Amino acid sequence: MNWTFFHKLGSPKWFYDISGKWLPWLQVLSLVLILVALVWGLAFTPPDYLQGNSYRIIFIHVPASFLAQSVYVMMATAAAVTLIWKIKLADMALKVMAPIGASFCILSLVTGAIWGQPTWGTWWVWDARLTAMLILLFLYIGIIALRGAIHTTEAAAKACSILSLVGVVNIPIIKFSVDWWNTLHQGATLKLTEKPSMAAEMLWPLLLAILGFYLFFTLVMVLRLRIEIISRERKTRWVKELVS
Amino acid sequence: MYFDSWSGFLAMEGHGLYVWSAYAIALAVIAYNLIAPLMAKRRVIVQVRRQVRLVQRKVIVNEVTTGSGDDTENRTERQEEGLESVKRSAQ
Amino acid sequence: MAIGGKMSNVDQPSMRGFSACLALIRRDLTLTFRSPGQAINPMVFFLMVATLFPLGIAPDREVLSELAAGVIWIGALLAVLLSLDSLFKSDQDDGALDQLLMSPHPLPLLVLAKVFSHWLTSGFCLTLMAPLLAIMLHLPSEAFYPLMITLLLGTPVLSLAGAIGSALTVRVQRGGVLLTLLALPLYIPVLIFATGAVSAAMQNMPYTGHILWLAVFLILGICLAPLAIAGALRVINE
Repeated sequence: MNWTFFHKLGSPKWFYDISGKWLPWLQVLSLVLILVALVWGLAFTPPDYLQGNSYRIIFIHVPASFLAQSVYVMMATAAAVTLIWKIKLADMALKVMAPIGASFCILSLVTGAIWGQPTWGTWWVWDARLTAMLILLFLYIGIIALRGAIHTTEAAAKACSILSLVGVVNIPIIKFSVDWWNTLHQGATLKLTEKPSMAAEMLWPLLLAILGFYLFFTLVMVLRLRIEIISRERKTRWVKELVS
Repeated sequence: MYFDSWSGFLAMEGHGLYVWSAYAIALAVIAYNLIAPLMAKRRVIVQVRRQVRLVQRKVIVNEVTTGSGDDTENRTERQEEGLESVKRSAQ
Repeated sequence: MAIGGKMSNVDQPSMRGFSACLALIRRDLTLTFRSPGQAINPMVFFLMVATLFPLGIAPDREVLSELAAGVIWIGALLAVLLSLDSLFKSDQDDGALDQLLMSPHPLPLLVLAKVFSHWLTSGFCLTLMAPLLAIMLHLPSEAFYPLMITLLLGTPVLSLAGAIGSALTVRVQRGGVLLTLLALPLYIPVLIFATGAVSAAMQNMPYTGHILWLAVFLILGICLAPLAIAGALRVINE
């Protein structure tokens, strides 16, 4: 097999050049998709027969939760690549993904709380999924804090890689134990939407919103990665030429 | 369009506050994610430029002290430029 | 090298690693006995936390016996966290950590020995103190055995998982709070199953499942955590 593409992928300069071509597409596509999905969800779908109009929060809550969870898995993947192949770009990705994932984790928690008030009559319940999401936020914050505390880039990269791998091993354990704890402590709890077979007219804007959020994540990641590349490759000639 | 009027759209049959505040927070998070890289980009570019300038200045200072090259007029000009960049980097 | 000296009479490499571990444990225990403050402070902390709860909530017997297991477990967890801060840091300060890293024996094995001696001086002592706290907090007698078993199985996991955080923050100035931030999410499953076992026992329900899960966590921890700790120590000190 030809591995040159793999090495190219690891080259910051190559990535900087090629991602410059992606940027306009990503910008337009993600923002248009999000806009269309949210307007569709807000104005053009019928209300839920149980929850009324408050269910419209789903169009941001669910995509944000999806993102928050999958970004952590992506970070663990980048961490493995960093540790095994020592690809600089993977570590940069690991670094820039953490704040984005944390911001969507917060968004998911806050919109969940706002949704909970009209639906369950309370801002917060110690539901298994809510608790697991909160712990995920702690994991994100831990990685960001560790990155901030170690000053040498190399050591911070490897420490964060190890921490995110440890975290990703723990996520299933935490999820499982929180599920167990919840069923043990409160029998008749308010379950978060028992995945109703959604009507197609609600499902389509939701799928669009999820796609839009993922594209938006890609966009932000590329934006941040490009900055990180400039910052770390500042000693190279091409960055100096680029800047001045 | 599901709603009959704008006011109905804003009120969301009593759930307006919840729905709209959730969307406002979503907008804030999206805006943060777009603005933060832009700010960081400006900062990083300023840093790198300053660094490039500092290196250039070092070269100039070397030239000045070793006296290599040009006539006096040009040299004072360059010295002033060097001083200016010192001031700028001190800010 | 302090570790290598004692084992010239043992030939097989695996046996050498084992005796190196023994030497390491003996060294750590000797250090602890010489300056016992490091080990005693977390235990006093444990006792004080348990004293604060009746003062802060209510001295009623019913309320306290309901809360007792949770209070004891959270107190133990925080006490272990406190003691973890110095696990690798003191070795880093006096250079023993570099010796450990340069040792010919497998680093995960040596690290496991260090964690074991840490558990002996923290988690194990806390477990021994737990009956006292159980009496103070009016823990129901039927919940006593499950509490002790969960502490015996759970505190080594706390040491193992916390040591990962301790290794990652070994070079960080004042890394105590950061260590807490890194380790606490890893402690949540242990806390859930341990207190779950005790409250199941208090309701006269079977709690073997909880205990077995804690044992699973312990085995998982013994297998995986030393690798992560060793990896962290290596990369941080490169």
